[in-house]
Amino acid sequence: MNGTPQDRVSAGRALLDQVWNENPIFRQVLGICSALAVTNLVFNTTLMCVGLIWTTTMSSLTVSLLREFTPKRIRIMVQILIAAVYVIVVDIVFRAFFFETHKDIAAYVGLIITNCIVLGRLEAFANKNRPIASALDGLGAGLGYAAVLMCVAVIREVLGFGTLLKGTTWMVDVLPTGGQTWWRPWTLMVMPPGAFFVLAMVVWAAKSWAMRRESSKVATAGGAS
Amino acid sequence: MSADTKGPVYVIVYAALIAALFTGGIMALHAATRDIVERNEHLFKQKAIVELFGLGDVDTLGDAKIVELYEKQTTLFEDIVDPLTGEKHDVYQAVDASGNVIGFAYPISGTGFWARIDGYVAVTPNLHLGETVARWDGEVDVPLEVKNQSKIIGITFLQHQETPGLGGRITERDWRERFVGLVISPNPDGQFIYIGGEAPGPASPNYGRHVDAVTGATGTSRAIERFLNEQIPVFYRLEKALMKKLIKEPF
Repeated sequence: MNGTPQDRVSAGRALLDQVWNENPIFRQVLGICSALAVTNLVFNTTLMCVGLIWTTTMSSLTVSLLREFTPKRIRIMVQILIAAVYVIVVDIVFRAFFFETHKDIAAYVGLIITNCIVLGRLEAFANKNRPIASALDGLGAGLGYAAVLMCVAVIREVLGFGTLLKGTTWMVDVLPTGGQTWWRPWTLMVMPPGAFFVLAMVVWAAKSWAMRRESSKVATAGGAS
Repeated sequence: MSADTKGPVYVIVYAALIAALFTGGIMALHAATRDIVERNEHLFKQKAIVELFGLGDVDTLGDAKIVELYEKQTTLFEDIVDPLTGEKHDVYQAVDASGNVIGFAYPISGTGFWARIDGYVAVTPNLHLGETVARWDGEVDVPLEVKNQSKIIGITFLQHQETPGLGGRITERDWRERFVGLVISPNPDGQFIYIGGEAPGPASPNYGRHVDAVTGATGTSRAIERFLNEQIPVFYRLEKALMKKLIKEPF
């Protein structure tokens, strides 16, 4: 990201930028580590996305509220502390209300703290902008991340297991499973390398669509690649 | 930005205040949810044990019914000493609705692909009490008869850190159910059960001892095969120790 002050960014603009124009995953290619780890089941991915959206929104809001009081030289420490607090809140809430899924994804929820998207938005935006705009910027970053992850998760679960929402009571068999049918579950999709391929395809599709749209206007600068 | 935020005193006081404030919030939330989390943990284990022995369908039974089944039909014997190693283990005993012993569940644990895996394996009784004999000195003697055909009733994993969707699928019922009915009597080659690889045909001495590996999780499957085979002999020793204890202090 560039380092110029963004004090005049409007709240709605901040939200939109993060969801699409500067989508953290396919524009900035940030935070893809968790995109690889948890995206083979839609339900796990959903909880992970909820956790990240909550963390980016709330920590952006908090950092922005405190920005006038936080000494510059300890700001990163304070930002990490704030992000960590909101992640621990997620962890506690999941443990209390989604006990069995929490057992599966606990390790990855903890890693939201070090997700580059969180610190990236705090340092690049929330640190310099008003609370509402910052919260929406965080929300946008979370939603942008979630949108891409959900695409990846749906593709991986359908091709890898032949189901949707496996592990919940709302599970649907999308493709026929069992020995006697034409369909064989595609194990590669379940494994981490499957995420690399699917993520690359999704980013490719989204970018080429965006580029086609932009080529009709005057080409504007995209995010960092 | 006012200038005083640069002073060292301000920085220290600010850092301390922020840390105290947020940590306090977390502690309060933790305290508020502690009861729910504890209840979840208890119920999780009770559910696992009820399912392990096949006492009821845990998906359709309500939580209260599961707790009732657990309390009525299972007994936990804590700290049963393995006579060979001196280690203490918790062993569950389950009875059916009319009070006949279904089997025993023994703890298993070992290193998975990433970290420690904990669980339980339920097996049918291998020993049973013979006829009670009154001895000349007034003591009661109960010989233990060996049936030597123990089979697995169920397997469950309570704690693991395997990759979700890969090794994490060891907790899925589809895979765990494949263990039901496996023979765990001693085998000439010293291995009790086999996970992964070619399924042995009916002519093979390993027939009835094989399950397929978890798809895409060879590491996790091998790890479980290894520590399960190491620990099955412990089941036999614990069963004997438990029976001796029960004869001495009938319940």
